Amino acid sequence: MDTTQLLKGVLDLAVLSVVADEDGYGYDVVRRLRAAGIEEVGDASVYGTLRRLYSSGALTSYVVPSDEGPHRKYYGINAQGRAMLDGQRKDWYEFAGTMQRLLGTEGGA
Amino acid sequence: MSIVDDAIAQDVRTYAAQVRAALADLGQEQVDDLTDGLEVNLADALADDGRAHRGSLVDEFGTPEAYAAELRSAAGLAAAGRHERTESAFRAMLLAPWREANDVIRTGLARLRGTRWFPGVEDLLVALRPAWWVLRGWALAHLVLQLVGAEPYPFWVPSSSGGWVLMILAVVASAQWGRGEWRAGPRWDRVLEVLSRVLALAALILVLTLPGAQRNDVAMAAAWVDTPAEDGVFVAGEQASNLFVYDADGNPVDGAQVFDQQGRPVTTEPDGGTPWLQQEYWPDGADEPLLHVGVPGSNGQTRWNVFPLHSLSRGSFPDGTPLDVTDERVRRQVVAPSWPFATAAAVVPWQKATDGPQPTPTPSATAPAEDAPAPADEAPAPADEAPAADAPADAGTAPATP
Repeated sequence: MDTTQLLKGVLDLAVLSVVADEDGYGYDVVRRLRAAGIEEVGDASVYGTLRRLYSSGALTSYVVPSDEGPHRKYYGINAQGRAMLDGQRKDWYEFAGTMQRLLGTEGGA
Repeated sequence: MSIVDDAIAQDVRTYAAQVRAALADLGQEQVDDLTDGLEVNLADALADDGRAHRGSLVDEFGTPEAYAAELRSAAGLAAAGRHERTESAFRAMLLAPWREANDVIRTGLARLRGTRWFPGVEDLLVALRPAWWVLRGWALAHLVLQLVGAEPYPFWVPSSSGGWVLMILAVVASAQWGRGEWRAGPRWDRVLEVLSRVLALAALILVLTLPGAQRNDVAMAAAWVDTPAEDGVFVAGEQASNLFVYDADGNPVDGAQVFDQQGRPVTTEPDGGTPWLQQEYWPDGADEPLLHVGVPGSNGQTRWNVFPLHSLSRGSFPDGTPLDVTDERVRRQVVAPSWPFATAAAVVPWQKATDGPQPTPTPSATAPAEDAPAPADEAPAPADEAPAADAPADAGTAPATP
């Protein structure tokens, strides 16, 4: 099954969750998603999502100057983002439970 | 920064510029917003050891267009498809050769990179890029200086301090842009990219043609300097413009014909008969220059070795047609020169002083006809008596009298 299609629906949730753990900059978020096992995610999808979440007011953003490399734009979660994360997490668990019951019922019969 | 890092940085910049170009329909602000930090993100991804690298940026991230589309859709912005279709036919026509050239370059480069030898060459070329930046700045300054007419001749370095300042500025700008120190917006990047390619072509043409042009210049200057005066009389390093002959008693001789040892006419007007090449003279208070005129010879030829030369004002020369010195009206307008002295000091000529051998005249009693036609009032020598071809040789046998 093509997980990229599944991922599309939950990428917001995944990104919010990663940023909620700890503030992160662009590629850092990609790396942590991959480290968590979401390998198929496209870099550009993550950056676009970060951008959209920021525009919608769910994330804060700040620039961290660096002496050696280029400056990096970090994203952090705010209250609105946390509320969004909680809501989506709840939705996910409900949906996942429904799917599990559905699959478990059919498979275990 | 190592060469490899530098090359990667340039690749990243190019890729990022292409992504921005693919998003250009969104408007400047949104493109900047969406691609803020794009280069850092790309470089981070390339530098990530935990990631399976697949080669070029296109292999790694997909085409810039696909990357842009993903970025756009994830950010919840409209797809570019509709906008691309509304691109005007005119714009498409303008951009077609550019896109074609880009495709050719991209595929050519990909093919080259597949060869065994090219990566080494590419490393070398990347290392030589600073030279290209300087050349690009030089070509830019060159074009600007030539366009504004500050440097009309081919040059390697400017001849004016203003030109130097411009060239230095152009080189600095070119290098800073090449190093990625100076960023312009995505639109400007595209314009600069076009400019850069134009300058590459200009630099190539300049480098190929300048040495030749300069050699021509040098050759022309050398020819100018080296060309000896072909004719004329020099006195104390200066070209004499007229000669004044006095006889042994010191009286002025009008209409004296002067020849050299080989019987060639001596003249102070090498370009005599060609008014636009002749020297002009401005007597005091004159409002028109004077030009020397020759004397009519026996066979209609104008003679330039008859001194002193008389003059005619520039306005008296007919337009287009040669001056007819036998024309009565012309003869009336001729101005006689003023003699340096009314009389010169008398001298004792050799013939009178000694009874020694007289200089033997050449067999031709008068000057050869084609060099110096005998004046009409003198008995002309029959042609068979004075063969023209013999004259110089015969003259050589005549003892030179010191």
